[in-house]
Amino acid sequence: MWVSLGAVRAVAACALGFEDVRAIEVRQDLPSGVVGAHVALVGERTCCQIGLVSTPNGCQRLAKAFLEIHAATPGLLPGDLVDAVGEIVNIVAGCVKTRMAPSDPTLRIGLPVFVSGVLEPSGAFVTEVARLLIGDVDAHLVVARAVR
Amino acid sequence: MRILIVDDSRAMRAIIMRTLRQAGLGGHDLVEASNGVEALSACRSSSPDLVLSDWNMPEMNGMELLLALRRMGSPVKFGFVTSEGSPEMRRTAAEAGALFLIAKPFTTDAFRFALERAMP
Repeated sequence: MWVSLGAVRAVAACALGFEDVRAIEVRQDLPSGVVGAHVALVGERTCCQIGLVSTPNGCQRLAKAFLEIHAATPGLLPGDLVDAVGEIVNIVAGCVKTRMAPSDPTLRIGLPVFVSGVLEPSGAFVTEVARLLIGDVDAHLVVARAVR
Repeated sequence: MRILIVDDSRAMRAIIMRTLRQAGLGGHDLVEASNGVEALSACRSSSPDLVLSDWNMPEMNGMELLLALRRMGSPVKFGFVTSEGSPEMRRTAAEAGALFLIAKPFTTDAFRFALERAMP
């Protein structure tokens, strides 16, 4: 979780223009009504899903920040929102992979998947959720890690 | 100069084009492709001077694209713009003939530095 949080901080500062990312709480589940993107990281020693989710409006804010579109402009079309949030999470996963490469050089990144609702991993996964404030956007970082 | 930008994310292609403009490189002819297969076709039809490609894409990934270009005898200058910036990825990219690897998230300066070295 802490490696992923560091990656979110790096991506928020460099790609979204949000210097301030605060972890509000760590929890085991997500609130209802959230949407967002998830990417798999799989290697010989590690298997996990990394997700970044928020309300539909929160995802719009993150996507507009990524694209440097003013927050007050009309909402992105669904396809553009899915694409932008997926790419944000893809970059987060890339940062995580780079940071974890010394401990598992076999790690590979999957393609992002956009999920409306809660990802339900099987019992083989332990899920941690961190509620974050990315700038003033309320979001949740999800790390579902396979227990081996 | 013609630059082919290859990324499965439309948002990222737009960001790369914006960054090229911010780096003072926006005056070039910019062409887009959303995966390696499209990029290979674009290389055959429009002969770019430089390919900026993502690594992890559906259909044909960036490394497969680079190897396919070299197999067909294309000497086009090639750089990766990818979320994966580990030393091993950089070494693999260089061994395959890539001139540089820009890791996402990137800065305008990173683009300017890499492209100025690749396109003196």
